[in-house]
Amino acid sequence: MQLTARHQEYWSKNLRITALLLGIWFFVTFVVVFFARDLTFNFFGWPFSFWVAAQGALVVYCLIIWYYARYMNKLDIEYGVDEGEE
Amino acid sequence: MSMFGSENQSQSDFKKGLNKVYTWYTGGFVAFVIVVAILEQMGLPRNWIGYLFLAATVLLYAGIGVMSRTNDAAEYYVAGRRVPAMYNGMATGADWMSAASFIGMAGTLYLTGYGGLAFILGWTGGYCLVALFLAPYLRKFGQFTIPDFLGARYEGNLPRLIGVFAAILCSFTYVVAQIYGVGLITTRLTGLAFEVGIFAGLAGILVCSFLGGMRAVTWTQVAQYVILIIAYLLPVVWLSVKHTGVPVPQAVYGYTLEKVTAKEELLLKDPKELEVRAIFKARSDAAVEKLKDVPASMAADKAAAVKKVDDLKAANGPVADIQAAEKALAGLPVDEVAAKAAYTAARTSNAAKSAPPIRHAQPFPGKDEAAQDISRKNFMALVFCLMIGTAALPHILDALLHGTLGA
Repeated sequence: MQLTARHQEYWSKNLRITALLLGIWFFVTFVVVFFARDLTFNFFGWPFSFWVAAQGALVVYCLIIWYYARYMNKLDIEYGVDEGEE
Repeated sequence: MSMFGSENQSQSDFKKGLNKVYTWYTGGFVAFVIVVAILEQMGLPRNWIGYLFLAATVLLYAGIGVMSRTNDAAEYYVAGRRVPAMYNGMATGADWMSAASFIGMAGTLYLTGYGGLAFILGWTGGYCLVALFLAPYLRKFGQFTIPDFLGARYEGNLPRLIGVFAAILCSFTYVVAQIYGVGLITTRLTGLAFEVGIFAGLAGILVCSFLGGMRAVTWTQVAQYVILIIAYLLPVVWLSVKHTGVPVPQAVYGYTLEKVTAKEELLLKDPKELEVRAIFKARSDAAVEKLKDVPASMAADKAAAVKKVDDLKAANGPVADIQAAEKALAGLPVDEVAAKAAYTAARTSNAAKSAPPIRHAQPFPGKDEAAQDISRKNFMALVFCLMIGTAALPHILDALLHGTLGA
């Protein structure tokens, strides 16, 4: 299949959103964990870093997946590569 | 022919049917538990409760397997791709709460505090990788498994073989743990020997998977999700109400954690605790001394044990005491290798008991900066490996096993 300019555009948008979300994923997981010992201020009773590992990061993960699915669905429709109603 | 969707049925009818089935199912589960509770009050023996639960589970799986029997490959592998999103989410949730997390996670978190959160982060974060890198491309390529995808994308059997090898490697490590869990549960519920219990559990899984494929697995997972979420939430909400008066543990357990931290502070300074730790420290030091000259220590131990027996006999001590002393004498290590192992074990276990307790909420405990850095590196490496591992798992190939194993 010959890739058109539109396909390229679609693909680069896909890569951009993936990279952005992966950056967020990396930040809440590894950057926050790396500085866990310093981030122990009181957050509604939890030390902040403990709360992030127990709940905060998980919420962010869910948001990442939700946003990606929504964004890609819209993009698929916009570029006419969606699968349609199943 | 089946309640889980026949060929020419609209998606909304299908969904309505599903809602009905699972509402009845949840009601049935609650009723079953209540009936068993009443029977228990009336004096039903313990092991019979186990048999009842096991029989109900196997019947449920077999029933779902039979009802979603299929010959079509697309149906078999990906449930015909017509599983409504909500139900797919429940099935994935059941995946997450598999045997390992259900049996082991609460205990791990209780024991290790912050360190145990690596598992939570890793397993959940892995789903991000699946969503961003694997699932969309598998779907777009219309492939059922990663090896199939690799074969289609890179056109050849070598990539496919590599994929198969990697999939088997990942699944094997994971499935071993899960099967161990299945064996434990079957053994606990039925009183069968562990070796037999494993095969009984596996037989149930195989029957269900082979009959209905991915479709049966998806529907059993939804069935499991209902049970698991009730079993998870009920005790925790109960505890939360007892301790804080608020039935939303997620929102308030920070305050309980604060209390635990305050208690730990007391425990660290408690004079009796310090005394006990000093005793363990002394024992550990004694073991270190013995290790310096193993043959001499062995002789000294033996002399001490013999003397104790003789003293007791001379003083006409109680028979039980004499027997205990003789047993201790007979139990002394016979050669140098065994003695060395025994002293080393005594040194390590006593040293561990003499260390101050780990604080639950403290990240990366360690006695100095270097030890803490190592602990942090270990934590991050564990999180990373768990994420990659999770991302490798939920592909369809082992989801076949994965789903039904999640009990």
